[in-house]
Amino acid sequence: MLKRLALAGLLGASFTFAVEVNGAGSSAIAPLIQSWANEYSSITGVQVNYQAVGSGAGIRMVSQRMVDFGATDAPLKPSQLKRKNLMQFPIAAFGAVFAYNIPGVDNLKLSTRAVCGIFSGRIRYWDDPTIKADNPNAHLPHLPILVVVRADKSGTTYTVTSYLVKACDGQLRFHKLSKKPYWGIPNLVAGKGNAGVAAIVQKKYGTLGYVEYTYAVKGNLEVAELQNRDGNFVKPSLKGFQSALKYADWGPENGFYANLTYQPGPDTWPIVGATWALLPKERKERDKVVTAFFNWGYTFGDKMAEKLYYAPLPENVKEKVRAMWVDYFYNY
Amino acid sequence: MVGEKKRHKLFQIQDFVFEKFLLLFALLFVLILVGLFLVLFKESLYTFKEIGFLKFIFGTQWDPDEDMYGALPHIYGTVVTTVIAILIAAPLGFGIAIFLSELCPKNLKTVIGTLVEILAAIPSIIYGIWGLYVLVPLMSAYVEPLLHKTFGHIPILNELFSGQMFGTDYFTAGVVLAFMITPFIASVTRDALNIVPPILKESAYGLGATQSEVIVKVMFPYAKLAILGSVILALGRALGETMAVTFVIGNFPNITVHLFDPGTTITSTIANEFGEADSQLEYSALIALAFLLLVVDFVVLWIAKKVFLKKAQKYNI
Repeated sequence: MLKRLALAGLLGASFTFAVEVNGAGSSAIAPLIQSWANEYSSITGVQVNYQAVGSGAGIRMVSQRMVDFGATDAPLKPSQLKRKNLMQFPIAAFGAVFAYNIPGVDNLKLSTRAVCGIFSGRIRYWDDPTIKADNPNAHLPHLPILVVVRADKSGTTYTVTSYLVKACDGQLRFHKLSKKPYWGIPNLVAGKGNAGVAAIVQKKYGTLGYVEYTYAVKGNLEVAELQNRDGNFVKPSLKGFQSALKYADWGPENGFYANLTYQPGPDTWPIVGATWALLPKERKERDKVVTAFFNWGYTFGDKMAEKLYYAPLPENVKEKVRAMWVDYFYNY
Repeated sequence: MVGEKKRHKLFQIQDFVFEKFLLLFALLFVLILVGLFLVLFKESLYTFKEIGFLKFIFGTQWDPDEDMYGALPHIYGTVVTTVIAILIAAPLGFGIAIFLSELCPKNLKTVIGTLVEILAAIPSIIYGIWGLYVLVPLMSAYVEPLLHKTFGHIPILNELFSGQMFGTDYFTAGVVLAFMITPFIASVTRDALNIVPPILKESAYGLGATQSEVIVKVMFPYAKLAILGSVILALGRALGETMAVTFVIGNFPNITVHLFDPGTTITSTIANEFGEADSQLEYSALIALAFLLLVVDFVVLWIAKKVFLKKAQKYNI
């Protein structure tokens, strides 16, 4: 309770001296930050400018102290945070899904075995026995599986490789999380951006591509059910994304560095990523203004996030972040 | 008399200031160019030091995860797409120009001419989106299988016209580029043909030449310089084009003779990876790519100017 009050106090104080906040980084989170910023500036008068320049550039810009905060889809390790003197906390989460285009097939289910088979190049046709076993009632054609990946380096790919590396340990050509891995499978085509992948899946039969959930919903694409770590087949949903956040092992002690994919839980969606904010630690006064904005987003921005198909952080995670802020402003 | 002298002096000063002022403008751009060169070179130095200049240029591996950077697939892709584009766009552009200046009915002339000029002004991102949504499916479903079937028995050509045929490949990128640069070639060539003195044409007709003979043997030689200039201008644009190519080339570092396989270009790699460049070396390697593009651009334009324009000058004008 005391902490709550203290936080409210410091938030109130912050409004008086700064009117502009500059951030840069992940393009995945840009729509959410912009929609928060609009609402926030109309209420408080604090202007939040955000440039969607990409996570890598965001990290570089905040490391060089060119902006008040950076945003990245791949979290920095505690050692990197220490070296660059940065504070890190999650903003919101998102899920990636496998969209497919097979004539006459809806409600496709892909077991972990099938996904790993496809991404290791072992399963090449849609009527493979492994996929058939998952979908006994579907009429799967003898059509080659064309995997659609991202052409550009991206946080979405980072999240998907994280899931694949965990779920298909040792079966893939790559073993590290990567924003653009060497896939090493023959039937591969690359599209630029989520929109590019979605466009190829929409237009071409036999494709299987990963996109952020938003793009699958907006593009009206067929989305495969996946098997999660508990072995259940699940449909992608914001609830399923949030469930992954609840089970993840993260907190102030590791700078909220966490891998959110393939988490346990009966309803958990297996491919979940998040965007993290990075703040320079030596600029306490600026940080008060920035954290005030994010605290407002945590408190009042869940509806806006859901509208844009982001999964808001669960309450227990928000509380951990708030506790870290209070600790930082008063004890650090 | 004294007043006259004074006025004369004033004019001299005016001229002097005016001249130096214009010189300043010109120098400013020279400075910007030199500065650009220096900055790109300075930032790429780290790559040349870490990897080695030749190893970077002739390296075929591009793998940021392993911090390995080789520029050859990107240079190759840039050159191949540009060559395809010029091979398609030059005849197409010449054809449009000849039609507009010689054969087209007068009331259609302005309509078609304006439309061609509008094509040149369309932003490249629009060509990219059109390429991805319209051209790519057409290519993979109809055009590429047809070409593959047609040329499948002819040696060399059967190698060129094969590959994965997903539609996002070197060939499609070249075609989109061709559409983008055709208007340049067409409108400049048309203007050049329009200024051929009527007396030249009339004398040729008087000697009994046919229309096609007049166009090929009289008008084209006369306008050669301007026409080559238009092709060089188009070449420059094709080399540096980014967004339209990025959407349709497949973005996969790949050196192959199969035109229906995905590839990449210098500009599309920079566009795809710059925002997410994590390591210092990757950042520097991408800038080194930009530096190489600038050098390639310079060399190509210089060769084109030296060789072709000189030749044209020797024969004519």
